Amino acid sequence: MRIETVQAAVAAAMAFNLVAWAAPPAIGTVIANGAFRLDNAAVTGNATLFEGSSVETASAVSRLELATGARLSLAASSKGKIFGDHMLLEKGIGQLDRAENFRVEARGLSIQPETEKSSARVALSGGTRVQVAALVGSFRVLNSRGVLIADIAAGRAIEFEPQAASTPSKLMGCLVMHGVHYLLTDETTNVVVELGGPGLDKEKGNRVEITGAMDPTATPVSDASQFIRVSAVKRISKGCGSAGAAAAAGAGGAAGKAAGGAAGGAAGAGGGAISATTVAIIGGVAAAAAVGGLAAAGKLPGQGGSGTISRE
Amino acid sequence: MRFLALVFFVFAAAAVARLAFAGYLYRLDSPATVARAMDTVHSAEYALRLAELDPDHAPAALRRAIVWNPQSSGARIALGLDEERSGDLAAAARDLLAAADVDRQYLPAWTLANFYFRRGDRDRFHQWARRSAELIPGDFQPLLALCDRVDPGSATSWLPADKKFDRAYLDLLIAGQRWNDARRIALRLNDPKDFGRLAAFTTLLLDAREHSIALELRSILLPQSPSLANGDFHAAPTNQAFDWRVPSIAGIDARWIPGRLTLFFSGREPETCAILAQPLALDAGVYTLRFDYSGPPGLRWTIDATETAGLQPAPAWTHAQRRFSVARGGVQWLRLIYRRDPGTTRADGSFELSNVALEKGNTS
Repeated sequence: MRIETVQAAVAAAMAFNLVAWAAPPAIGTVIANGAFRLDNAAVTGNATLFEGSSVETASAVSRLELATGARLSLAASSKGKIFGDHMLLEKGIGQLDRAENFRVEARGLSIQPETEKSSARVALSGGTRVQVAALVGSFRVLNSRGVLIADIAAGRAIEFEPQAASTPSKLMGCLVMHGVHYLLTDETTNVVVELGGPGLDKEKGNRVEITGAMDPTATPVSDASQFIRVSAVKRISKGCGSAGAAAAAGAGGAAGKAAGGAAGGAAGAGGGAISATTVAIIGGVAAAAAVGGLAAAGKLPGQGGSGTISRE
Repeated sequence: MRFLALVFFVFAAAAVARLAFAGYLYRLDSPATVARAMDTVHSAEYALRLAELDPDHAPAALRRAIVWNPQSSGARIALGLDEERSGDLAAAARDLLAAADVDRQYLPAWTLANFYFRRGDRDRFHQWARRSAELIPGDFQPLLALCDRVDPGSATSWLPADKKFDRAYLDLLIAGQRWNDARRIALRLNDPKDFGRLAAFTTLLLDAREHSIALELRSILLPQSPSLANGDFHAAPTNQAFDWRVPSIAGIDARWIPGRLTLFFSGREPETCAILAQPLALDAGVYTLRFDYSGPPGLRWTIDATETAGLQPAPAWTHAQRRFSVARGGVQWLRLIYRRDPGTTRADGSFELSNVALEKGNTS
């Protein structure tokens, strides 16, 4: 951790935690250009946040500054419950900035920055989907059991949709050998898994789509996040070079458009449910590269226009 | 003269063009364009927007906003909060107090109350909380919630004496199911226009079996009232507090007219159900329940778990009475139960009830 980060954290701690009475310590402040709801009561301008405070925005973005140094934003018409180390996004869109040890939880998924200056936008869409756009730095996404289901690089956006528990994993990527272990890096989620099962040997070095089930009793090699017992292997192309790179670039490019595009469009842009035939399924969650939608970069809904805070 | 007019026109046109250009840049709403717009016309409003768009450079932009518009409380508040965040607490206090100096409205006072709360400065917190309370335009609950964190159960003690704060505070305490704290506030609201709120609170207390507090509130809601309230049905049952409950039951409709309650049985009602109830405040002893009724068979009164004899079918108004004893004082539920008698069909027709009275003692 850099010196200025330490200094900032100390300053923030001094700023928020020196409450000398028995009152529970504040965890930060919430600031908005207008009205918002704090614990179901209407507030204008700014307020103090406590562990578990519920913040619901109206037509303007609310900015949340936490004692840990984490900086969060809630877009217009969004709602979240704020804790010292995480935000539970309940509605709309949230953005996480500069929060190395902070996470956003949404519909059972946990979105965690990998670096200190990471910034990501998380949007709930439809009834079940979660869109995550990594704006700066990379983010890890874990399912409700703590299994890594995506590693999102800066500029990429992925939409997730939890599936039935029995849904088999389905991943696509280049099958490589690492010592005596078969590894595959999924092109959509960028997650490395170890594979076991019949039919892998003859597909070594090819771009494949595999179907299988995670084996929680097996310990994967250190590079992999989980072990998958493969039930079917389908070759997509011989060799991995250009086709795999093209596919990866395609996914990245699509997400790049998302990250570069203007905000707007309806929630859940991308249409209906994530199709099991076009995406990765990992850890019981379907994942697809997202294009556009509310998780895209640009201003958050409700962030436009000049403020009403001024009393001029 | 014409030359001077031309010079004036050129300058005016240039100024308008500059403003228009700055406005155009501002509307593009990116940090770079807003910064240019701000530098072009030295607008405090633009500086505030830049501070929002570019938090890393917010302090500088906010300081310029204050220079350009010293009356901008918004800029001073934003700067004060930023300074607090960065640990410069003296500067934060100075700027927030300056905001309150230039703006005597609610937001600076509220911001200072929050600031001193976070600082743990009780005296200054109380001072600004009180000031906020005097100016508050809308919802009192956030202020009361903050005061309650400092003085649990006594949040209104530092606020101006006004029942509107007690009412809002009571709602807050009830929402938190803090019955004893809520009781102290409720007992202060001894005013008929608060009776609706007190009745709703009493209902919650009864549901939560907080009988002792409910009985205290009964003495406010129903002073001098006998153990059984609204027995003559002079008022429509409210389903609240110590009044009658007329549950909504499929197959049974209820209608009240002054002096009488009528329940219409469709023949499709449940085989057993409580069709009417009231919580009573009773001491230990023997009681006589008197009432007038007409209607079908299958009805009987119960007091908590004690069931009295069934009512005889009565095609016309009939006076009746039932005696029961209460072993322990407190809140007891009087219920009128319908239960289909074996060998009969479900009730079909109307049951009317009037003049219900409860007397202590084994009178006949």
